[in-house]
Amino acid sequence: MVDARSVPQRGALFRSAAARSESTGARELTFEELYADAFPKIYAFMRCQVATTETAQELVSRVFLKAYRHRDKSPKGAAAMQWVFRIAHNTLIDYWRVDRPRERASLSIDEIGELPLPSRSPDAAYERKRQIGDLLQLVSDLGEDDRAILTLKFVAHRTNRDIAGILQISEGAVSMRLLRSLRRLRERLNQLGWD
Amino acid sequence: MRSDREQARRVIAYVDDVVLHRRAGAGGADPLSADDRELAQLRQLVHCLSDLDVVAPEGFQERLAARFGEAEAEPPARSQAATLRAVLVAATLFLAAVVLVRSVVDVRVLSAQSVLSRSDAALTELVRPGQFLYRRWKVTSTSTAGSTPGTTQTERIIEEWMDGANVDRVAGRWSTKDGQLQIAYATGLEDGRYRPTVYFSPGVYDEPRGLLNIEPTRQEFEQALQTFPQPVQRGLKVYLDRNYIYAPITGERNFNRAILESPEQSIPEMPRVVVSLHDSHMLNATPVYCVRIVDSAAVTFNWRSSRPSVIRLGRAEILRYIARDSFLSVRTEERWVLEDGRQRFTTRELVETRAIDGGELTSDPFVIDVPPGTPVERQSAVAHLSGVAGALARVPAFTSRSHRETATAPAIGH
Repeated sequence: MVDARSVPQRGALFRSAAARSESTGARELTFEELYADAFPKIYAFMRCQVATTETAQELVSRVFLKAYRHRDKSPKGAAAMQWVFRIAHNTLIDYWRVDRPRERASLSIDEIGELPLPSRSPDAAYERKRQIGDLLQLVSDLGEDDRAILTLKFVAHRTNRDIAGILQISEGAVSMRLLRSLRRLRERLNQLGWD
Repeated sequence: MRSDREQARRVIAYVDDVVLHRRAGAGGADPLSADDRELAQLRQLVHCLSDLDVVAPEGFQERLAARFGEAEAEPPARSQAATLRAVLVAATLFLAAVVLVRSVVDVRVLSAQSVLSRSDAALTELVRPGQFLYRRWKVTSTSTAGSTPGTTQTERIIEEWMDGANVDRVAGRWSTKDGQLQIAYATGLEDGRYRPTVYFSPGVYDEPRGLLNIEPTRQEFEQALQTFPQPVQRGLKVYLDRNYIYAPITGERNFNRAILESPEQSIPEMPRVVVSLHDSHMLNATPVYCVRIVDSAAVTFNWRSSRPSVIRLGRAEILRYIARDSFLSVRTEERWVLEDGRQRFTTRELVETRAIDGGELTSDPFVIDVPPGTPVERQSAVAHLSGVAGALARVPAFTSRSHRETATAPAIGH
């Protein structure tokens, strides 16, 4: 098991682990590897649920500190990622229930990463990012279930099986919910006259 | 018409392919043809959603990893009964130790305790339940920007209220000398704790639409403090104890208490020197302590709703005339030299202080009149203290630089 106090000094390990894929099978991940792989996804997932980076940082801190304290109970292999996401989802629900119900997510342009089409002109890229930011706000106007499932799929890039495990529902239910969430979002866009 | 289940399968297969392409860095190419009407409608939406990639603030991942050691140090969970037993035993041992130590040697602790009880007693004399302590200040600031010549002078009025029935219930209003409201502050009871809420008028502190900021409670700051590594906690605790965070009347009283009770409380992260402390002065016929202190690295924290908070270190020379009965200030003079080169000299003169009956209040200062449509934000205690911790890490470099620069500057006061 990882020596907790040595974790902060291992920046190089973070980077190399982050670059690895999640295809580690049933091999036991060290907490460092799990943290390196999960951090960007958990942060992105959480950031898309709340209004400020400060809140996202606080919630992500809660998630990983909790995961670290209970790392002995972490399942092996790829299931560990699902386990961290379940902690994240529960942490988010607690936050919504206790601290901030119906918080509207809001992203600044600077927080949105590079777009997949490198040939976009700066103006086009800026406009696309602005559009994405606006779209996220509309996602956050949807219900909690819609918000969670859309961000798990599109932001955290989880498979249907992962999402089923995180939300504790069947894979079939994931597909149905995702379709309905997309339909509700499309309907909202239509109402607003988005092209 | 396909069944919903079949349609869901088709749409999700399409979504997964788009997301997979996105992850593989294959750009926005369409992996499948959207060959039915609904898929065609959802196509743009799916592509836009799959372009959503959020990046964490630089350094946050490493800073969080640095806190794992602290999580490790926390004791394992145990039953409530066992926890209660442990707490009772610890409390008993602590009380026994305090009684023993005080009875033998510690004169300073007795003195500090005396200060506390006398100031509490004085406050209950100043204002009684059913009354409000009202204080009005005239504040004049002269600021010099570090890189540009010239100075800016501002004058504002600060009014403050404290409930005689509960000294934690306070309110404040900052206005320009023309009476334009800038900031309204009020604490409100929430789950048994007083939570500050601050309204910024449009344009004040770079909030173009105005803002209602819900601040952390003192208890939330204390809880957040526990999440930092022990060496960092020490500096943050002093930051909280000195009450650099604005709070009407109570904040001022805590700041003054910190000076008088713990003049020796100087640690490398938050260095402080009490240059002089005289208790025989009179100001406006009020017996006062006259205290001159130098905080070689004080912290200013300016929260912003839509961008990172502005946290600066500053060398602060502070002269305070503190009423000997209430530990409330009568006049203060402060000179700050901030790390970005700005300088600010501020005098606060108490214009009026009196107890007023509840019925005399023309409007309720504890109710903030917020215009419709004003954004509402909740400030995070952890984020606040993380920012301060970052600033404290700059203290050694700042103090060595400012020591050279201010060695020849004249002292404030008379």
